[in-house]
Amino acid sequence: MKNMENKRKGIKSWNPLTSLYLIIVLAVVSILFDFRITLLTVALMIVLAAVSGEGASFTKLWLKSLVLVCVICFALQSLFIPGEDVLWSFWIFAVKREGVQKAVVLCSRILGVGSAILLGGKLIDMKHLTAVLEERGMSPAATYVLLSTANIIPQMSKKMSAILDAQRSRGIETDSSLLVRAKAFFPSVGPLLLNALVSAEERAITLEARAFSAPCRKTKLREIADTPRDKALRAALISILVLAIGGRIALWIALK
Amino acid sequence: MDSIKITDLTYRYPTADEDVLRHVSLSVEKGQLCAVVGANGSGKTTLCNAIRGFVPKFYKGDISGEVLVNGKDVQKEEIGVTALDVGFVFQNPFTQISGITDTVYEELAYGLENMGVEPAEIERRVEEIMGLTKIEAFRDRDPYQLSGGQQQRVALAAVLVMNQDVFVIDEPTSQLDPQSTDDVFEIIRLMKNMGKTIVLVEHKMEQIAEYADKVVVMDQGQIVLEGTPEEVFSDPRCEEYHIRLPQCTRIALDLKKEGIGFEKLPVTVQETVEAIQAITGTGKDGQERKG
Repeated sequence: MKNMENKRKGIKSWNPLTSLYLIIVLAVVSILFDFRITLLTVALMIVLAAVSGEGASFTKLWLKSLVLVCVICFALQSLFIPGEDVLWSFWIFAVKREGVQKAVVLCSRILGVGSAILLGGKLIDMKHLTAVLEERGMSPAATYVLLSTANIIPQMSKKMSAILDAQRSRGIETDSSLLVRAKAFFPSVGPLLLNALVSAEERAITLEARAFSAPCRKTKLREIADTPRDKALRAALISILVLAIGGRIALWIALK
Repeated sequence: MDSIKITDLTYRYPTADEDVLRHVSLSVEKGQLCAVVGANGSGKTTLCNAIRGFVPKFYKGDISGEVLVNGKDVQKEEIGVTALDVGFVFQNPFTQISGITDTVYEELAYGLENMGVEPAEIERRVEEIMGLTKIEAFRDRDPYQLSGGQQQRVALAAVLVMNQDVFVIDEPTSQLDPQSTDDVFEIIRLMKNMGKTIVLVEHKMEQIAEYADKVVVMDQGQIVLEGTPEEVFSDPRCEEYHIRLPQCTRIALDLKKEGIGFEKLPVTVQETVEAIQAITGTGKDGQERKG
């Protein structure tokens, strides 16, 4: 256990709150200015992921999700937003300058904020983050919801496949044409939701049995270190954020 | 002093037409192991919920009568406060995982964290209970990835580690193989030796005969028989309530029909051996036979 803690590299060794600040600063900076700054911040994010030992997995996920979404968005917007200035045309499709402009703005926002969130998911341990938030006065019920939501998704998909197996064994066809699959949708999702409701009740009992609402001060098995370095980093990040927002406002006034 | 004292408890679930508990009165002394047996739907689990205060706090419904645990009225107490007095393990192991821990170790520590136990003490107690319940082998595994039987042992351990005075344990061995069942009963015996008061719902009569101080038979929401294992299992009404007797008792009953006179019906293996030795005159002087 302890060895694992020490092995955390780069950003991952920071206090999770500091990492959260970093993610927020990156996300805000990436949408405040134009697409060049966005590209720069995104490049910085990839570097940060690499430094923390998550480079490959972050880039893979990033390419598969965000880049794909951005490409689709870009294509749709540049093709279908009406405009006068045609840059390039093929058959019934035409790429218009106005479309491209709007597409660049939209895609850079998606890319900036999306990459920041993805990076956060890779670099911040939810458990550590909620522990810190709880220490700072967030209600345990709220942190529980955050944590269990992150944990419940694999659990739900496991249940889903069990239900699909059960329904298949009762003769409901689940893999065939689109129509057949659509028909199987309700008999599979229904039990999943009902199950989730029933187990929510038992989960509540489990938590009560573990003294969740006991009126005493809670302790944490592992205290999360908040070093002077973390405090300094957070101060620096806040100043960057203020500077960036200030700069943006100044720029806006100057342009006006 | 009685650890648990239930007086004239009647309860009905909100949507039900009938009372699920009817005029139940029961007292369990401190340090006693009280086994609750009975057919499905006879109200055993509801009784457990009532001792922990989930009935009526969590499930609502109509209740009359009183439940005292360590002298405190659980119906009047905050539901979170009772957690410090009563450890509660319920039937379904699959939902008894907190859902926010990544390892079995953290799962066991979770209840202690909520109770505000200091980290060093948490580590000591978790290590100790993992040893007792023989789950060290999967200490670093994700609790959700364990088999039903393993999860059940983790769920039991996660509550035992909290070390309250009173434990309510509802069918802790439903998913377990015979060896693990024996292990669980061994843990329960240890808990009893530590002076814990335990209410246990079980269907495995051999183990009940061996370990319980007191057996309570429930039928249709009422307590119909109550006493030591010997008293209850030798009562002919057991059949009426569909209580399966321990194997030794059944053998003794059959032998009795064949005309072999037992002075009193044995309920454990040891008692049966002694009774047969007494009748046949073997044993101490003749060839020693055990089990």
